[in-house]
Amino acid sequence: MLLPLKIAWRFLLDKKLQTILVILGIAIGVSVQIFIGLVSQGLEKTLVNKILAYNPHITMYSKSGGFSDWEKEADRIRSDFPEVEAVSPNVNSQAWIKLGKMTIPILVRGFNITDTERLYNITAAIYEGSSPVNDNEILLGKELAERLDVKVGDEVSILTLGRQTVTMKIVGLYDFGVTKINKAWVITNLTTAQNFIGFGDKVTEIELAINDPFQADVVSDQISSALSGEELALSNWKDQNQLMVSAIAGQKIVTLVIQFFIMLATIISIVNILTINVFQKSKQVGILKAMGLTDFSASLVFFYQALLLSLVGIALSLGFLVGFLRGFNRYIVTAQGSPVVNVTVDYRFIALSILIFFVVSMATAIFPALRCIKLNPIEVIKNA
Amino acid sequence: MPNVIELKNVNKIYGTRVKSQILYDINLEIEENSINSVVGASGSGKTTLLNIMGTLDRPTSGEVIIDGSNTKNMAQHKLAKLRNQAIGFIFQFHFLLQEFNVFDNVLMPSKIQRNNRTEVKERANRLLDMLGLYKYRQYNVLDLSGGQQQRVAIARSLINNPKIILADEPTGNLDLHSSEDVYNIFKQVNKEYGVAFVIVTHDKQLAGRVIKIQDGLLASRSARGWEGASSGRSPGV
Ligand SMILES: Nc1ncnc2c1ncn2[C@@H]1O[C@H](COP(=O)(O)OP(=O)(O)OP(=O)(O)O)[C@@H](O)[C@H]1O
Ligand SMILES: [Mg+2]
Repeated sequence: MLLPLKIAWRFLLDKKLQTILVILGIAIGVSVQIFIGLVSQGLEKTLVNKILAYNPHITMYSKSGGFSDWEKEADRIRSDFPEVEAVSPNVNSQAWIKLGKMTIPILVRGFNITDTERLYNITAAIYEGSSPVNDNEILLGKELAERLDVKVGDEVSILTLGRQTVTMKIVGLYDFGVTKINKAWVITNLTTAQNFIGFGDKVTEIELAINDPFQADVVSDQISSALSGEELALSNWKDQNQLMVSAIAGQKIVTLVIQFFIMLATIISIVNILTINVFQKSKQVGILKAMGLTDFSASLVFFYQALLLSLVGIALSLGFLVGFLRGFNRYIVTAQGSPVVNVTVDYRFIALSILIFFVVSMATAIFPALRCIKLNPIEVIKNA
Repeated sequence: MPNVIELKNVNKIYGTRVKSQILYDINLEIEENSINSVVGASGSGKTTLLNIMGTLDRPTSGEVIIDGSNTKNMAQHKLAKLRNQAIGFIFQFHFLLQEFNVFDNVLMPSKIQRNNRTEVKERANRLLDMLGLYKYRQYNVLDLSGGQQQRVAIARSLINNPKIILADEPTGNLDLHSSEDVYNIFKQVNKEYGVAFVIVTHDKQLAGRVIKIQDGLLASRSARGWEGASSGRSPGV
């Protein structure tokens, strides 16, 4: 086995420029392919996270306006649908918050804060104070608090749809990282919100989080048919963000196609160079066969060349990839200086991409190897 | 004396649609330790005969026996091994591997055999010394003259201590002086190592047996004069 490896090595060294070019091609092909895959994943994650930061995966409404037996429904969903990770009944109402002579429109949202953990993770978003425990305690978003110039412990007046004024105490400030939400949501507990709109102990919606957000439409349909006959309506984030969802799906497919063709081009370049190499080295191969090198060992020479090229190319591609990612995070940034897309280094994806490339490139080395097996020493010797 | 090569009723026909028969029922024995020249007009089939003897080509019919083993039904890898161990090849062109230096080229057949022992390296040194190439051991083969390259090829053909060397116009590319050198080396090697030679040659006939191909048939001249070596039709000499 050692002689074919040694010959392969010498053949590569003998054509240094050719070898360097192929290795560069492999390194660029593999690294670019992985890089755009990572960017695509990051783009998807960034977009989905932005949407899902303030969107439940699935929302259940009652057609009659409110659920009175919401606790029963919530328990049923918790027990019947294991893929549902959070069930959060809530009460929402349009309202206004008073600032001097101005009133600013807001959305009062009453939750059982503990139920929302897998949905909004409100607790984690609180950067000052704590979550509401008692009635008439509220959380304000960062931008709204700044605009009102209030702090934790202050009291604010809120105007209901029924033109009543309620005084609430600020117990905490949150930041979801989405200005639109920070400005609008005033978060409180369920009873406060229920009292606020005189809703008894009904809730307006039940919001759900599921383990795979992309299954939202499927799970939504399942719940809908399981709970059919009742006054239920369901919506999911995918339906509400159809444009975004199809944009994400579209970019994923485009990325996949590009990845495929980069991979293909890279592999063709290896096979191509090895096939050329069989011709370039036909004299050597012919004489080696005449001297007793078996067809199998002769073909190993070309497998080893593919192996060496692939391994060196892959190693170099990892270096390139690090460079691409650094450059991307450094130069492709928003006005605030943070990367446009949050690219995370997915080691599994990288390993899988490299493995696929490696297996395919070694498998295609069979073509030059077959050519080499067919090579007849007599022809070579005759045509010297 | 035992034979290192025996051809029995060997026929060679080229082409499938238009058939042309090059060799007719050849029967030939190459004795151990003998020197044999193959002569004949261009296109008469000298190379074809040599390739068949070297198992690089298969006869259309007939048997080729190398060093006692019949090659008729041998698998490719067995033939390769037989060639590697029993036969040394020298061609008109040296066919050295430019990717390796002189020493590695000489060792190549032993490496194919996965023989890495020190004796084989010593043997390579001895052969190079005998051929006046010792100081060129580390040279790239492209930096040698044509005569030197051919001598490296000779050393290479001898490294596995073969029973026989098949040489197809080994001096075809060399000047008169270098050709003389090569033939003298052949004689010396024949004497020292007891290797049998079959040499296809245009220019010169070495001492020893001369095998002449004409019309696909053989005539052989030995100490007893010309005689038909083929059992087929009588050759026109
Ligand atoms: N692969 C082949 N297919 C068809 N015919 C061939 C093939 N190889 C050789 N021949 C023919 O066989 C005949 C003998 O060829 P060969 O090479 O053995 O001649 P030669 O005696 O070595 O000639 P030279 O002295 O010119 O080297 C020639 O007529 C040649 O055209
Ligand atoms: Mg010839």
